[in-house]
Amino acid sequence: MTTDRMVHLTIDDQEIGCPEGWTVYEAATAAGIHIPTFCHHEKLVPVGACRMCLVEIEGTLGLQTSCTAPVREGMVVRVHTSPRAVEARRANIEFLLTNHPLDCPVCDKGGECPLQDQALLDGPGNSRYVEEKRHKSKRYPLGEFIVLDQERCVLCWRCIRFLDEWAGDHELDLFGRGAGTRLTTFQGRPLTSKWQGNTIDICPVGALTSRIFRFEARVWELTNTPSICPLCSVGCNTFLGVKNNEVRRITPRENPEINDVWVCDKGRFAHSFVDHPERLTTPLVRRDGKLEPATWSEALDVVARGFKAVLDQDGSQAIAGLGSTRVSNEASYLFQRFVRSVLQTNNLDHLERMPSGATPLQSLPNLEHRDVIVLLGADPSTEAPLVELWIKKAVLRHGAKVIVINPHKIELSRYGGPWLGYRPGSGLALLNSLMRALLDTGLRDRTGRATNVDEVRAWLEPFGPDRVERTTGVQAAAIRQAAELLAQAKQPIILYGPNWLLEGPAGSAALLPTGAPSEQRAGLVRPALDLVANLALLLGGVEAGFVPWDHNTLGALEMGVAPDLYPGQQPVTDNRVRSRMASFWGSALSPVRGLDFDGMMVAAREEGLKAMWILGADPARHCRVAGNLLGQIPFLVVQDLFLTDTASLAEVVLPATSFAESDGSAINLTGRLQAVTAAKYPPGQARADWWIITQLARLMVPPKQQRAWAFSSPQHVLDEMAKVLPGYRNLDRAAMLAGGWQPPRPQEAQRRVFTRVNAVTPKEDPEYPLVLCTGRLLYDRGALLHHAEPVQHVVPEGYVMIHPGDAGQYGLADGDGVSLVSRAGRLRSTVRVSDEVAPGTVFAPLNVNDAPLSVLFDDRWTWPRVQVVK
Amino acid sequence: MLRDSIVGFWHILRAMGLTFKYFFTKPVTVQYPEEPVKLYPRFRGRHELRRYEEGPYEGLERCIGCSLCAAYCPTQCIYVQAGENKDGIQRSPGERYAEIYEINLLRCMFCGYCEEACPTGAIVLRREFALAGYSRQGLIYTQDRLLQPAEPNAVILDDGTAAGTRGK
Repeated sequence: MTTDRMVHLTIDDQEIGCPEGWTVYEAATAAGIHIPTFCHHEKLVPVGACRMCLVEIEGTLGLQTSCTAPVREGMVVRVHTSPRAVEARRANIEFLLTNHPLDCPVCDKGGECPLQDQALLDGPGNSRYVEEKRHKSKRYPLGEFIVLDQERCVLCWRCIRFLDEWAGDHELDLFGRGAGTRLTTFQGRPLTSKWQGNTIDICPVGALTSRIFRFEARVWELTNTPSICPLCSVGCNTFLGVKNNEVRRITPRENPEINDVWVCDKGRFAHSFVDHPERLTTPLVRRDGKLEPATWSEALDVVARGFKAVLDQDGSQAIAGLGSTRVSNEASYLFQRFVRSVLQTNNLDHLERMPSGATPLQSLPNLEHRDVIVLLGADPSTEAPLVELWIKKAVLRHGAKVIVINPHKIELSRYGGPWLGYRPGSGLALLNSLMRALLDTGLRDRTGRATNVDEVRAWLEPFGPDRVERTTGVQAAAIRQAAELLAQAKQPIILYGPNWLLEGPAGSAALLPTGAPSEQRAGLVRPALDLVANLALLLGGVEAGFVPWDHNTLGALEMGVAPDLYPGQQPVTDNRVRSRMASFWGSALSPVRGLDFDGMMVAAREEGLKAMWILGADPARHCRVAGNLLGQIPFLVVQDLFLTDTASLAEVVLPATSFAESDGSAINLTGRLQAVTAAKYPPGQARADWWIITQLARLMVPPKQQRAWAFSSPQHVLDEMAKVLPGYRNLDRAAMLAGGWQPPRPQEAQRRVFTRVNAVTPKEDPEYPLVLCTGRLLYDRGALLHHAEPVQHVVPEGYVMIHPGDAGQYGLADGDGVSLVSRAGRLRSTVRVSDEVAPGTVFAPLNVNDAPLSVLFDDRWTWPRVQVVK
Repeated sequence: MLRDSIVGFWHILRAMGLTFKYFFTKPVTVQYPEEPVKLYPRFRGRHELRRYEEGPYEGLERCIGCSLCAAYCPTQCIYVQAGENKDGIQRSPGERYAEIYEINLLRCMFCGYCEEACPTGAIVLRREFALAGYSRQGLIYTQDRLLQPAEPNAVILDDGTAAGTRGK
């Protein structure tokens, strides 16, 4: 343990002071004295296995490994001034090289290999070893992503220690002894950890190399451009290694606030969608019913004339824009500016919108210091893997407990924390019951800040754990165990995900017809958010953070791609805000709240929506209601990377660029703005979103407003954002590139009042007795990953998971082919019988079936009830 | 003025003397391709990718696609994309071979560094020098062309002569 006390020691005649608890290696490195190492890694616990860091310490017999020797007051250490230590290290390198194959020319580590570097720095130069070298397995695949060369391995334990200490996946180990020691997996099983790619980076030789990057390029041929991973809301910092205008590999870029030095396998290996041959390379325009290639000027002309015709005939309310949680802030900002100032409407929305009351997480590294972590409908292992890594650090190093509240048993429930597997729709009752149990534990004095604790006791009276057992399907004992843990917690935190929000409408029976006004629809998730706030308040005002799914979920909302909010989440109905925006954008703005997505679809059904522009979203696949209605919109324009289901319905398809091909920025789940830089040229004539929107605007606006659309680079867009968004005045691209830029957080008033949330037992439906709940898998066949072949090998076939009790009742066995039938539709799938799902519930992963799960959904707001038919 | 004319005339005579001297010596022009060109033994012409001619690897390509030639090349005229020997097809010994190997001869300055960098002796600069072409594309030599040995119409001067030219 590091303390504040200083220790003084002498290394190589140099007086050094360092905190107590440091090792000699750390003290020497901090003082600029180089000690070679192989097994030591600053992020791992030292083991002293490789003997490369031997030093002489006065007063001890023999040489000591400096990576494990703690500093002592008055210690005298000799690194380079001790002939004995120098000779020992030189001999050690020679020993390592005797059996190391000299296949550097064909080794993917060559060029960034610590063994190469140290052989050059301290090694003997030529070998005295003339005998036959030791032979072990050379090309040994460890699963889908890594290939092992046992001859190159120097048995340093780094990979094993990383998987044990960080990932909690004890999959690799050393077997055998002496010269025959080999690194392998137990019984040769494939590696399955989602963190295995990191062992490639920390391997000090070329023993573990990537199967995806295998022989793709020599490392010195790559241009490494700093970038951000676009595959989840964490936004890990990465380098894109580009050779010959192709992304060849992705490696992590250190950022202690986000991903430390790690990145998950999805982010590392799923990049080939960028260079996929099916990328759109030219604009497509529908002619005689078929989408045909066109030039940019033709396509933009068609779009401009199409929008103008609708504006002239049907007015601005007949046009809508749908943004996305995947595109950059610059694209989102310009898109909403275009729709608001050129198309003169607030009919703007995006799918997977973060509800306005949800608060982002404060910090990722802080998760390490939490002792109880409540996961409410969130599965970080599949939705935001780096969050999982920080949670695992808390669990594995500090003994934190994880309470999982989710209909589906997730990976993080393996650490023994209680799993409260409730039936979807009964989540509000469950959480009320948890709070009731918490109050019953007599909770140390935490609720003092709340003003209405006694009222809460009365409200929660009907929610005794025993009483909700039947409706929620959760054992009362499990609820009490969770309450006990929470009551004793000193630093608890609540993380909740998009799946939890669906409990709002279901549990409060607040079902709305699709035609209801959008304000009411937005209020549907309110009860779910209120309950989270109640629980946080009951625990003494602890942090509750939302973990969204998509890359730029926060950015889409912050940039104002919403019917009710301008950039900076300012209401469109506020006259002062509107006149300020109008002066920035040089055009009058519509004072009325626009249609949200459901409203747009209603308008489409009633033939009131004549034109729509969809930017980077695929509602035809992900929202059943949208599927048929999008086809009825007379003039649909879609801007995307691939010809998606939605794009194939469009009149005009515009090819956009991926994250690797244009500059931009995104806001991650902690509210941090991070920048990406173009690392390669786009395929064919694909163009950046900001360019497309700007060109179109210039075609449509009158000459007087041309100057308002004179953007010539994304930097200009960023400059305008800094002026328009409140609190963004110091927005700085350099800071965004170097670790991220944090806008000032709005000071929210501390909640002191519990909100009453009525939880209604959902009505049973004898015909459709089961509730379907969906979730993400780490690797799926979603829009981008579908085009990343290497990870497609590990995507399972579509399945539906059912509890053994239910399976027995309906006569289903593992592997049976079944149909899932709901009131809305049906879908073929395969049964997987498992107790990892609550009774009365079926779980089906999203984006793995050929047919989308959305066919079973009535709307975007509730879980469908289904029956499983053989 | 008379003196200038005499001196001038003398200079013309001397120059013409030189002309007449070479008029009667054997010309250096070679009637290529009817006659072979003389080359010194260490002449560096077009590259050739070699195969193993004997031993356990007979017939396999020597090149392992390691890109060290491309790394060393001062004009960056070599492009290598490696591939993996698998599914029973073995193009070179070991795991790695060159899937694409291209040399842009328009850029190459025949310095021979690639030959020096090569760990397997796969790339050598041979004596082919007739490298005219009708298109730029045609002068980017691809792997299949580099693997074809070509012997130019030339005689190689013997070592003695070569030694005599050293330092010139």
